[in-house]
Amino acid sequence: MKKPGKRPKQRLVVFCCENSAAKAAESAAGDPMLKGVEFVRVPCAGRVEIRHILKRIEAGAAVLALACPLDNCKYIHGNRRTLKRVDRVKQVLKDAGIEEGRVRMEFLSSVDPHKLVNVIKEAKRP
Amino acid sequence: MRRVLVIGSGITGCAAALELAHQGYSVDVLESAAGVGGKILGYCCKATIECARCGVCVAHTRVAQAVKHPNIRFLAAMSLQSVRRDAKGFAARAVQQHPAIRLSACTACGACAKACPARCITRYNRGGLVQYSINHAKCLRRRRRACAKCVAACPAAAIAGDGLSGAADLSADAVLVATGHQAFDARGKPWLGYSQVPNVLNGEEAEAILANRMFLRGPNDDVAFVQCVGSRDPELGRNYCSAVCCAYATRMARVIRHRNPASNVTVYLIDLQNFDKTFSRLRAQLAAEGVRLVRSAPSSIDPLPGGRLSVKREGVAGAAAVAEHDVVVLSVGMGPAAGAAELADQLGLRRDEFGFFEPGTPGVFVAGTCAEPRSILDSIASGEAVAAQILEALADPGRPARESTADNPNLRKIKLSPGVLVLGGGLAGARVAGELKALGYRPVVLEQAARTGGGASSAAEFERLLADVDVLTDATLSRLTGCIGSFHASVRAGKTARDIDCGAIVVCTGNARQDAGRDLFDFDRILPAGDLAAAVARLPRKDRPRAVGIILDLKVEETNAGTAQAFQTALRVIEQHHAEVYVFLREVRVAAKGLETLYDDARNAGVNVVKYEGPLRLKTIEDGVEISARDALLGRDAIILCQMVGVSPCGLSAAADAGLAALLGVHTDCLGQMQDNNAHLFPALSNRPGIFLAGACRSRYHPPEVIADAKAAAMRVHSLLSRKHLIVELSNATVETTKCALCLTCARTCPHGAMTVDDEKRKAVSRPETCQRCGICVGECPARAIELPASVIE
Repeated sequence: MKKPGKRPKQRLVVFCCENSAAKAAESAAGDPMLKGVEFVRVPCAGRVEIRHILKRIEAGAAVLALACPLDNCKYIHGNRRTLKRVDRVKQVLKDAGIEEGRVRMEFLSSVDPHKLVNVIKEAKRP
Repeated sequence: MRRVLVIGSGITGCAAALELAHQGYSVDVLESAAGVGGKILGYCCKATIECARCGVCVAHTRVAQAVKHPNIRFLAAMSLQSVRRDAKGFAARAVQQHPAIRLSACTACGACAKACPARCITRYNRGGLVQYSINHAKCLRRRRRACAKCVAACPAAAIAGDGLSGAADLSADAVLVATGHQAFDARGKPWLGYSQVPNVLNGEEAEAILANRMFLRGPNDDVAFVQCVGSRDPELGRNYCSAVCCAYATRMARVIRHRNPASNVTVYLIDLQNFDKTFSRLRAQLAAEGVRLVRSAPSSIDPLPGGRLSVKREGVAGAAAVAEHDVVVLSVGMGPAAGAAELADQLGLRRDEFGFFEPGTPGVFVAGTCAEPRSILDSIASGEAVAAQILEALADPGRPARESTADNPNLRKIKLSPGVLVLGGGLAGARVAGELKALGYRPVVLEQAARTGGGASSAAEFERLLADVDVLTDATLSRLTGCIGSFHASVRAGKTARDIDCGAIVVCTGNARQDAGRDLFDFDRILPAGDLAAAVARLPRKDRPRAVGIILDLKVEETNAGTAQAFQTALRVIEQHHAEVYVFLREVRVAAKGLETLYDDARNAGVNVVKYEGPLRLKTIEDGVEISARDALLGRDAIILCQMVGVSPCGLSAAADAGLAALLGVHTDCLGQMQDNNAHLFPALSNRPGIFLAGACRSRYHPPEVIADAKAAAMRVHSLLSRKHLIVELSNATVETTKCALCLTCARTCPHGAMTVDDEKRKAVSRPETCQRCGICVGECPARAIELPASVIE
């Protein structure tokens, strides 16, 4: 059970691949779940660097990296590269004693706006 | 300017229209519905964390591109009233059925939707495709009430009237029919309870639900899919495989299991068709993920008290069984679209025995699911292929719009070499060369064997296709440098070496099957299935075999090609030599036009079909070859003695030449076939811009599929090279000299082969024409030496 007031509301930064999640976010625009979420558009999930994620975590935000499903990357394997990077970040967070759940990665396609809302809902849940 | 009329704005129509429009053709797309896009609008994404390659996202992107293209005009809610041939081609008259929004003028501002008192204007926004459309069922004007609020509210005057006020006279040099299909009405099989029993859905309804929600009903539902509803059913007069139902049902089954691993999903099927490039892996995944495959056709579906459904089926060897499920999805097959007969009359088109259009009427082309059941990705391929056909038939390869670099210093103009190198002189290679020749190119064909022909036969066809084409036999590619637009290939042909400059390369090298089965064939009794009929005929009459076995699916899951070859061979052996023929297979793969009827013909002619499971053993004994396997239908072991055995080579090895793939820098998939298993690339693209693929090297074996592949590949080459110049923006990845340690991580991780080494500056550089601006190298560079000006993220 969520105890109100126990934990300050965490900011959520979502890295969105232009070819999938960004399109889904456009379709889902206006959904209350997306309110207050900061979207960062990237040409491919493979563009997201480790430092981009760490910088946002350092600033107190939670990070969600959204990529195209595996084997559906327009640039072949950008999503797989990011998956490795996110795992690396998780390891760094673990080593530093920070909750590794602060960074997540999900896969969804451009035609799945409902799934986008769903993963953001889950990412917002503390 | 040439004009083409496309009937149907589904994915096939849009894919073809885009290719034609890109060549400077003016395209009118006629659509009878209020919105464009056709059936894909109601389909869901079927990815788990892994893409299932259903193609829905790719199709949305294509349709959105078509909507934005200045050379394509969409005429929504319009129907063809008349069409006649005139001196110039066709004169058609289309009539607006009800008020509709003209996409070309619409700015998607939404003013009409706000103004409509009946709330009949809906916004569709998914996968980058945004469109407003009028739902005529709700429109006040349908009830003859005066209302023009949307018309008045529209600032772009994008809303058109109805009836004669909205008639359009269209002229066209060619007509493309891409009217799509209609799903089987499952009420035609009343015992399955559709529309009578709650929670019995059809495939399209299930798609529409999963397009908007995570589950069909509840997360814990026990879901069953029933295959072949309205397909492979001679009693309904639908004696053909719909080719897509196995794909959509198993994909949805995986999605449901993925979203709630505790839920049960069962698929009742006759045969599982091979619908994926790496199907062998897919089947293992289905088993690992717990999707239950039950080989039977349910005989009735009845409601139970409490809302569950009872599914009765005839089991193996007559044993009946009953199972309970919460939701049943009937995988309805494809049939001809409503109005197909009328359209065929108007255009003089022939239809096959099931009502699908046949090509062959001059000036009228058919593509997509109105010609035969096809998946989305195959429809895209057929759309691209038919575009090439139209360009050839009109003898006008078109002229793409020229872009200017004059006022933008960031643009660079790169000359494209007009040469094309085709690797492989088999069915695919000869086709590609023939198509390219017709489009005005002078391709060079490399064949590693002493003669062209590959695995295919028809010599006359080859001569026609390869006439006036530069063919090098005994030739291999030894080195390849350069990139899209200017490749330099070093070729060894016989004893001579030659350098070839080309703008594009098409790989049609087939699979490396010459090595496959060496351990297996003894070329006396066990031989490749394709050689079987001829080998039997060569024997003296007294030595001819009494029984002949044909084995499919031995090591790799068979495709349509294997089935076609096996049953054609079986029929020939029976008709000419009156031998007993046994065909061993795991599944009857009939997902292409004419194959189900071929299968029926073979069975009627007396071919014994043994569906086996588990391993199949071949043992050469004195009197012949003993084939032992477990009969899946009878649940018994079967041992059959055959004097000669043919093994389908397609079922042995799917791998392409790994050395060639490495030399070209083209990725292979998990089964070693060329081309990544990525829907964005299908049909013809590779990970390297400028290198295209067709045919068996990318796992297309069935001749009609290979031909479509070859045409689509030729179209892609034409689409690239007809521009003469490549205009590239200099926004590609840049490398800082002082930081670059030349570790080549970027070169290894760039999927497109864009990174090379600048020897003078001692650093990596990206080629602007190859770089796709994805930024993968930027994220990978350990020295953080790479920047991507096109996308700066803080």
